[in-house]
Amino acid sequence: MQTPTSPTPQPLPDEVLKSYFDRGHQGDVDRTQIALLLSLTPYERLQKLDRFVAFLNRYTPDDAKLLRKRHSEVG
Amino acid sequence: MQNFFESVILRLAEGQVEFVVVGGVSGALQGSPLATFDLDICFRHTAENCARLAKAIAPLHPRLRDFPPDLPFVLDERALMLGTNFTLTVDGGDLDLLTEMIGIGGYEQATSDCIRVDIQGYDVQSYRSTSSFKRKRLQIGPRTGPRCRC
Repeated sequence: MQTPTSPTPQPLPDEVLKSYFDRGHQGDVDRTQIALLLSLTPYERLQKLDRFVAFLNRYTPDDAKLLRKRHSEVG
Repeated sequence: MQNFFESVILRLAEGQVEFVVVGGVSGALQGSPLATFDLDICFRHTAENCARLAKAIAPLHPRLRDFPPDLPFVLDERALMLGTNFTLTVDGGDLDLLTEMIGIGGYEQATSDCIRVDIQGYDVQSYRSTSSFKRKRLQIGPRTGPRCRC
């Protein structure tokens, strides 16, 4: 008679692992970023924007800067 | 003082990680007027590259975003190989590590259509934002949520 053994653990399906690590990109929207933006004060948001603009001003190629300027003018 | 975006990209470049800048930062580098506050990176999903990536961002203390802060988590080569997309909080900001993107595909597809940006002497690949029009052809709706102009 065979001795009963515990079942062999089965690996988790890929889909389960994917969704476990990625809390943001469920579908097309990163909802963690939306939650972050809504939780910031105007000053904090401005600080983050300044940080982003400083990076862009330094590394954006000239033609892209012109494109952004024209986008801004159009509104 | 180094900027968050600059410091993360430099860390990856110095660590010889194979990656492409995607998302809002890549769009802004090509003239998009929309601002984003996180950095999206698409990386090659191989064991060697995952090891380099994990080593490069380890000093930034990566944690899973939106998870309890006391939840034990180690971002190493194995963890990166087990998942595909990771939304992380690192020192200084939010970092998304992606291997699959809706409407684009993976690293190979992203590198086939990108521009090169010189960041402190490193030749960094940035996904061509005009390729996002492919999303429309795939009938993916517009993004929702608050956006700022820069």
